[in-house]
Amino acid sequence: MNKAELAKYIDQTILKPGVTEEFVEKFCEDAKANAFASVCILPTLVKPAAKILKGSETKVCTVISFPLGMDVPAVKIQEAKEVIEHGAEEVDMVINVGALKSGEYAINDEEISGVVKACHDKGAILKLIIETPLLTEEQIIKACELAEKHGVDIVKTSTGFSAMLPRSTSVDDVKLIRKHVKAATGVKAAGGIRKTAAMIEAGATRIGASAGEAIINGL
Amino acid sequence: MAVTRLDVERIIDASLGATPAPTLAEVNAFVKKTLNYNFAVTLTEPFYVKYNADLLHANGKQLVTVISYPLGGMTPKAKLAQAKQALKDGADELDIAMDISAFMSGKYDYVKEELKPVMELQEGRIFKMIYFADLLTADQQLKACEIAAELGFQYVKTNTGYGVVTTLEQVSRVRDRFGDDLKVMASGGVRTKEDAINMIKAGATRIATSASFKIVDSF
Repeated sequence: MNKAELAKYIDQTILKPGVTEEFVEKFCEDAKANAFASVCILPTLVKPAAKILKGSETKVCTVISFPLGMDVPAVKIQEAKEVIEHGAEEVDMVINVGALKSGEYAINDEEISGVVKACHDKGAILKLIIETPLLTEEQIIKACELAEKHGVDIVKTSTGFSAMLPRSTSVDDVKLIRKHVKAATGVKAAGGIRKTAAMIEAGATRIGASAGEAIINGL
Repeated sequence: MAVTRLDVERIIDASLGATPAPTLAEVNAFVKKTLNYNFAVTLTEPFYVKYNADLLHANGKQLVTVISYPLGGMTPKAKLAQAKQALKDGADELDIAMDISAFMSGKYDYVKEELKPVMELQEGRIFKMIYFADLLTADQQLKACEIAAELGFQYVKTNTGYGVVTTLEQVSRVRDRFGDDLKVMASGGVRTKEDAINMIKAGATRIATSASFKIVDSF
């Protein structure tokens, strides 16, 4: 795979608190120059990012209920609508992991179907972050079923919020998700990704990375 | 004067902390345990509020939840929706993160204006503004606190607590400047009885901790 092909896999990501608008503008200019798939930033920074990325092949991606996922469905839907209004073209929503682990799937049904609709109505895509480091194999499979049931575009492994998580995303996470979603559904590997080639080999169609440039340059 | 067990206990915001995405049963067990203590409030993430508010209220206890937490990256309407939902579900207090990206970008007026609609929901309740002290210079910390005071927050909350330790200087800085006009809650890294006593001596009148039981039981 050449550099340009690899760049199409990358969601160039910065999700720490306190990033300035000036920094994000530069970050987006660089991402655009590298033709990354998207730039993934916090909702408050969607407007300045959209200004830079509008009309380019690099999409504006943001995160909903991030990184805890513990909001009620109506709040997640409201947040998704607002970020799309601000210019987001891709929405990465954290599933309600607590509800999933509690077997309260009706909550997950409501939030996923609502946010999928909010996205698809406006031509945006939804990536569902299922937080594999907190789930059993059985729960990962259940999350994939929920994603398929509601027409999620891409299943994303993890928030990568390391202060809260016991581990990074593994190649096995990606393989397991790939096995339980349709071929047309994407898989995004995110959260401490080091071996990009292995993730793509395992079925990842996107890579969330804070160091996209180093990845495409093979560093 | 010596700091007593009750002095510490009654100013603690008790949270489950270390357990990411707990099940409903795990949160409920934690909340039940707090009923045996005289904490200021029990904290749960927004989704869990409605499942636990009645139990706490029936026992004369109060509940707090978090808004735009922990990254301070949510957009205005989403924040407002989240706050309204939390109050409707039974929250007594709110810990609200300011837009830290806008603040770092120097947009102080925006930071203030953006929180005004949320403050209209206050109606005598305690709202605390999370200002990310760890990311700010001493002058910026005081500037953020000024904004909080002007908005009518009773408290500022130093940090979110994820991977950040609040210093005694951060606490005394607020105490020295604002006295009782704007109280300060120490959040992040308070793990022992000694930590708590030191924070109180530095001027904290609330302490957020997930080590609540351990701290109080060690007196």
